[in-house]
Amino acid sequence: MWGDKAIELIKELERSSELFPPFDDDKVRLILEECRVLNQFIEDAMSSTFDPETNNYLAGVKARTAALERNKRCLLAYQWNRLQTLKKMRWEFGSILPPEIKANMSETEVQWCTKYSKALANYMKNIGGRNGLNLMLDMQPPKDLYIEVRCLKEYGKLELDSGEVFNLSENSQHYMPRSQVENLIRLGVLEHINWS
Amino acid sequence: MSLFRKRNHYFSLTDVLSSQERVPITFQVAVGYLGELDASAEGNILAAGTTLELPYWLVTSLYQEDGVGIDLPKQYKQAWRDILAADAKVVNLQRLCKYFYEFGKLVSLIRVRDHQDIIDLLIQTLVDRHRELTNWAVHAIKQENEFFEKLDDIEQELSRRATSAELNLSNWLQSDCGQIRKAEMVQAHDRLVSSSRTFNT
Amino acid sequence: MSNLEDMFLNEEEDDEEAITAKSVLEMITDAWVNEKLCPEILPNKAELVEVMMEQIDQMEENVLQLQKTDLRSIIHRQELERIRYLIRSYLRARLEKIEFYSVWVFKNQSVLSPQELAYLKEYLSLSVAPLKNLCDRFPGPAGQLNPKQMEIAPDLEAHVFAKSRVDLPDTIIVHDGPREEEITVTKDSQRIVPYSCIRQYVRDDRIKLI
Repeated sequence: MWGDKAIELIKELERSSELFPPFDDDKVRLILEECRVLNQFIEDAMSSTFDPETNNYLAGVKARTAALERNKRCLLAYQWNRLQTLKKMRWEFGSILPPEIKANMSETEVQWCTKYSKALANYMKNIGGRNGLNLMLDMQPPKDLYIEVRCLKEYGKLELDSGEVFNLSENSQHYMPRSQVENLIRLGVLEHINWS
Repeated sequence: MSLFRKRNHYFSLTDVLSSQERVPITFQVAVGYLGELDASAEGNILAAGTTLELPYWLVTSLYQEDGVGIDLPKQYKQAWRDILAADAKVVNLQRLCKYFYEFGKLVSLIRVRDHQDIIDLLIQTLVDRHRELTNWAVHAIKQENEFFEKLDDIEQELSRRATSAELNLSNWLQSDCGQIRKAEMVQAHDRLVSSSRTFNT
Repeated sequence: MSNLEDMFLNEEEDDEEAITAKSVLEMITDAWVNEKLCPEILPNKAELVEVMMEQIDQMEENVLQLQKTDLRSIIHRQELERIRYLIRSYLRARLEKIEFYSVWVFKNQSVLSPQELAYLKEYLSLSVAPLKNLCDRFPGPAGQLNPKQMEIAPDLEAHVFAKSRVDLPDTIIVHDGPREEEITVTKDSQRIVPYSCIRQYVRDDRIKLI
């Protein structure tokens, strides 16, 4: 049935257990092929002579036009929703995405990510006075100036704004300024130890 | 953060999926060039008297043609209206129709004479199920349970929101709000990666 | 925000300045709450943000003068972190709406700050490209992007919890389905209403969302 492959594409996205499933270009191609057949019918019908008895193509054309529109909507919704996920990931993972996710991106999506990062960087540079304002920080309301953290993986040296250097080796514990480690906690490098 | 977000729009997965639900449609006259729609049709002509269940998006392109009629999908017919009126709480909407409310709204647009009845049914059903829904959402933190599985798509979203609001509230009451955690997607990704590693070794 | 006031009184010995800083912060806090609760993007408060950012730079320098262990230094630094969070969260809430409702916001762009408008233009062009790529592979007349379809408009009929700051000169009409009700709004009165009924008053700060 028309539109079946298109809805499969949408269901793939909705039901995937993966954060970002591979771009299914094979299915996209099949859907576009179906569209070519639908479009061919419409073009042929329109150039044939209409006859209410022997060549009544009106319903056939209407249904196929609807199917074309439907396929288009599914394809665009597929791409649009994938971009929304990529956007969310930019805010959660930062500018470097895990290789497993990168591997599932289409060429267009890779380019989109670069451009999106650039647009955000431009905006953040131009707001909030001299140095810009990094909106990726303070994702949660701050409570304490300093917090206790445990290092979950080997990270190496971290230099703070104050010039102080911390050696973040696995399982080490530190007492550090919240504003400068929030990002590493969100990325899973550090763990916030909360005594309250 | 996304409380303001609109659920219905051109790219919305919910909208795309709910407009895929099927509507019974009858062709009282033979129609040319639609044979593809019926597996038992001979050639490309849809025979007079054929009844099919077609996706909503396709039905909207055909239902106003001469000799074409549509029927209500069963979940909005009298028999189900009676069941829902008797005790809406016990019905497994997920199984009856995953997009019960949203598809209902769509159907009401093409069945003008049933419009008000359908809208009333949808509102009454949600009102009847609402108390159980809130009650469950407030007390359940884990979502994988029997009750949740019986909810329609929009009900599931409502209870997810209610549960997360409840969780935030209880975190706040325990003065845990300063706790910084791993980002949601980073956490999901780490879980997937570590489970695939366990699987491979 | 007595800390803030204190910070300025200590450093500048200037009452007027202190009051300004405090009221600016209050206005930003209100703008932040409104933006979080409002279905559409509200007129920008870029000037307030700018003033506040300058104040922050100033305060930061003042704090540096203090001993690190000085209790005042700790309190002031906490205050600074809170203000910075507020501004970031406020601008993020706007950014999220700018992205989600991009086409619609583009048509109603007077509410944006110049920086936001520049961002919106960049965002629109980069986001349309992948969709256009797909459309280009489409056969026939369907292969065109329809801006009307792409436009996601905010739901202005969404219900909001509103509180009036003033006695409104005119009554408002609250519609709920077919029913209509005329209401006189007095200062500090609260009510749940469809956003569209009070839209103009939220936009000009006479009614706030709570």
